[in-house]
Parts: sequence; structure tokens; C-alpha cells
Amino acid sequence: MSPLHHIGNFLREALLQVPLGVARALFVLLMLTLLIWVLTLPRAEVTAPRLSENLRVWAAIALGIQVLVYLFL
Amino acid sequence: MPGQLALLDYAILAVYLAGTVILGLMIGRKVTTGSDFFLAGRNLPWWAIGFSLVASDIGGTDIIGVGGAAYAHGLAVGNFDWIGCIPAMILAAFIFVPIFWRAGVYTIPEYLEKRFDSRVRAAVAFCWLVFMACNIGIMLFASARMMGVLFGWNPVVSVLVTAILVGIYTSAGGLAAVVYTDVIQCVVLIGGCLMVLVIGLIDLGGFSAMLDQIRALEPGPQANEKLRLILPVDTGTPFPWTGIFFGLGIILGPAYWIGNQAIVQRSLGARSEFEAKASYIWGALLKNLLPIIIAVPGLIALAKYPELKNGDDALPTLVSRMLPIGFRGLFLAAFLAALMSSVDSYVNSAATILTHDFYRRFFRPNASDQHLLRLGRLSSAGLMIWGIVFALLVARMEGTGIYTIFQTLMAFFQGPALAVLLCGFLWKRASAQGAFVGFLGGVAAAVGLFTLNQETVYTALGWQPLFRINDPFLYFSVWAFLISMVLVIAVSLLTVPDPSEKTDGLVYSRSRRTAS
Repeated sequence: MSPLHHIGNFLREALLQVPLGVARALFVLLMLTLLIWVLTLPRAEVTAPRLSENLRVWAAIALGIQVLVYLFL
Repeated sequence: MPGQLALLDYAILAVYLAGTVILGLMIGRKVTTGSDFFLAGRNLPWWAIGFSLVASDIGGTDIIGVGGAAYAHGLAVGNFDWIGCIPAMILAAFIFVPIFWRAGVYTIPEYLEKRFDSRVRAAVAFCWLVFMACNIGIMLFASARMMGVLFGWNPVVSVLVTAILVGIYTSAGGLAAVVYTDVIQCVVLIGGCLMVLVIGLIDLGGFSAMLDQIRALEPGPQANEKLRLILPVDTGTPFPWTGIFFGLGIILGPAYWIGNQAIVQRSLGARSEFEAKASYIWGALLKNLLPIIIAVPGLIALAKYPELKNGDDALPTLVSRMLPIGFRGLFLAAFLAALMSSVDSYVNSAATILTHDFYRRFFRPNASDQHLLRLGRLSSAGLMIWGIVFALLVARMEGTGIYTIFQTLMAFFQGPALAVLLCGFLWKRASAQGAFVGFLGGVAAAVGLFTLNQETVYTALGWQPLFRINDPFLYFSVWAFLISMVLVIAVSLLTVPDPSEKTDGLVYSRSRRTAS
């Protein structure tokens, strides 16, 4: 067994112990983190220098759908 | 399906193909400068770029392959369009694309020279050029083979006709022709797939009826796996959650949407920084829809025809048995739209890298704009001819596994390229020496891992395989990225910092939410 195999086996065994619910939480957390980040962007970054032209709204919709997708599928 | 296409189907196909080529040629008449050809005169609107981003991403084989993977493995294939695209597109929209656009570059390697040095530019440009040039041939070959199976068409004729049509409008109109024809192609693509979805669901009696039939086919956890996005590490499918989250979501997705010239180039042609950002957000919204219209038809086929032995037969079977005359022509147009919109993007971007990163940079720095325009058109035509030759070469070598090996090998440099880009964008201290060593070291590490995972090699060493799943390209990308990142950071800290002109306006700064 090479050191690479030891690392691989250790990681594989560790990841096999992770419940699927925790894995799902990771996916949702990634989308939620991005969603919160988008919501905190300053207005200058998300508008052309109208609500319908606010990129924050559309990015939040795209990420909000993803949060729901990974929560329920 | 062969022989089942009626005159109306061919008429619909002819209208689509003629419309695409005529639009491309009309745009080509307005192209008068190199900037027009390579960046559409920086006058592209957000909505057109957004459609083009999505159309370029979906190849002809994806239309059939994603449905086939859904038939064989379930909904988890939808991860490639969801976590594999949307987070990366949002990050790209607000962090990376604005810096690219403001830097006024033609290519990503050009940005890398501004940020690092010409060695990094040449190394990354070389990898992308080889990848894109060969990918043109592979896309043509794979789609032609599929058309041979689906419609009984001669693969050589399919390659020639597709390549000539794409070559005509791409050489004439450059990026503008590519983007505006992509708009038509994206609408046809979405319309064709949506039609299959709606007709299929009506036939089955609705969405819940489809789910009930799938659960009835394979009672127990097996059926549930078909309807889940997140699968266990020891799943029998190629989509364990670890590979999807770390390999696809964290590495390959961002590498593709931030570092792929064929994708990023259209946003560089946006008419303003705001429209460049908006195009990626629009693309992300469209991406939410795609697994529903491309993967779910595979599940419909599973519910209706569970006896198929090959997943790739799922969608063709659905189309041939369920769609009426005329609708089959629309589906065929959608298939060709997906193929042509990807090939034209790779031809245009490879021509841009060839012209700007090699010819103008190393051979003719003072070449006139008209000279570059002529070269852009010539190299587009040349790349299309090369694509035909390479497609026929791959066809001759079919059965040797060259197709899979090539795809895997070419995935190796995306992790290291992303590591170099991320360090360049986000860390002022990243140095040219660190980027160069990190990129080459990451590629070498990926090749090493791939070699050690070959049966002849690990058997000779008395080892077991490093990875236990088939096609572990998602894991290769993770390790190549991590090794590359460590090398960039370590070498940068051990070498002299680059001067400030290498970071001014080229590095993202959180405090000002803009490039510092």
C-alpha cells in the first residue's frame, strides 16, 4: 500500500460515515451562503449606473430555486 | 427512428438550417474590424449573451446523453446543470466577469499575462487551444455517430454538412454571428425538449403518475435513488455526492464558467459591464430549467419503456414512438441546434486564442486590425477543416477508447487553470513564478494520478487502483486543483512579489467590492 492509498482509504472511510442528511445540508449551505452574499452586495454592484433591472433580485431567485431543489430532491 | 422522418420533418429542419446560416451571413456583412470579429465590437446585449451561454454549454450529445443518464441512473445527472453551473455563474457574474470586462482583454490567457507573465499566458493558452481544437472534432464525430444511429444518416456526410454550415457563418460573422445564431438555437433547443417533456407527461397521465410508475418498477431504495439528486459515496452510479459536491460544484463548475474561453468570450463582447453581469444571471435563471426539460424525458422513457438495455436509446425511442410527424423534425432541429451552438463557440474562441495569444503576441505584435480580421476568418475556416479531419481520425480509431481517454486527459488542466486564475484574482501576493510552477505542477500531478490508476501500472506495482469508481475524472480534478493551489501559494511566498502594475485593476478587493 502506497501513502496515496492510505490517504485515499482514510478519506473514503471518513466520507462513508457522513450521513446523507449531512451531505444534503452541505449542498443547501453552499446555496444559502451564496444567496446571503448576493443579498449583501451594494446597490452599485447590482444596478446599471428599476427593480426589474436589479441583478440582486434575479440572482436571488436563481439561488432560491436551488435552495428548494437541494432541500427536497 | 430511421425512415420515420416525413417530408414535413425535413422541411422544418431545412427552414431552421437556412435561417441560421442566412442570419449569420447577414451579420457577417457588418463585420469590418478585428474587434467586430473577435468581440462583436463590444456591443452585445445581455439577453443574447445569456441565451448563447446556455446554448454553447449544451452539445448535441448532451441532449441524448443526459436523458440517457437519467434513464440509467436517475435524476442525479441534473446536478451537472444545477450545482455544476448556477453557483459558478453567480460568482462569475459579480466577481470575475467584471474584472475581465474592465481589463479590456480578448482572451483569458491575455488577462493572465497582464496579471502574471507571458509564460503563464502561453502555457494556459496552449492547453486551451489543443483542448478546443480537438473538441471541435470530437463533438462533430460524437454527434454524427449519434445521427447515424438515430436517423440512419451517413456519419461522414453528417460531419461534412454540419461543419460546412457552421464554418460559413462563423468565418463570416465572428462572435456576433455566433451569439445571435445561438439565440435562435437556444430557443429551438428549449422548445424541442419542452415539447418532448409535455407530450410525454400528458401521455403518462401527469408528473405524479410518472413517479408512481418508476417506484412500481423498482420497489425499495433503488427507485428512490432514481429520484434523488444526492447519492451515497458507494453508489453504483458515477454520481456519488462527494464527487458532485467537491469535484463538480467546487472545481469543474467554476473552472468551466470562469476559465473557459469559449464561455467567457461572449461576455467580453457585452456593451457594458452591467450587461456582462446580467448575461450570466440570465444564463443562471435559464439553467434552473434545463434538467427539467432534458433529464426528466429520460425518466418518462424509464416509466414508459423500462425494457431498454441502453440508456442512450431512451430519448430516441420516446421521440420515434410518441411524437407525431412535424414534431420529430422540431426535435431533430433541437439536436442540431445544440451541436452547432457548441461547435461555433469553440471554433470562434480557438481562432481568437490562435490570433491573439500566439500570432499577435509572439509573431506580429504590430499587425493591423484588418490583418487580424483576415487572420480571424482564415483561422476559423482552418479550424473547421481541422475539426473535420480530427472527427474522421477519431472515427477510424473508434474502439481503442481514444474518445474517453482524450476527454479524461483534457479535464486535467482545468483544475490547475482554475487554481492559477483564483490566486490571480483573489490574492495580490500570487506571483508569476508561483502561477507558472503551480499550473505545470498541477497538470503533472493529474497525469501522474491518471497513470497510477491504469490497470497495467498499478498491477505491475502490486497496488490496488487509487479510485474505485469508473471514470474518476471528478476526483482527478479535485486533486489537481489542490496540488496546484498549494504550489502557487508556496512558490509565491518563496519568491519576490510582483510589481504593483501586475495587480492594479486586476485583483478583486472585498473592501471596495471592485478591482483594486
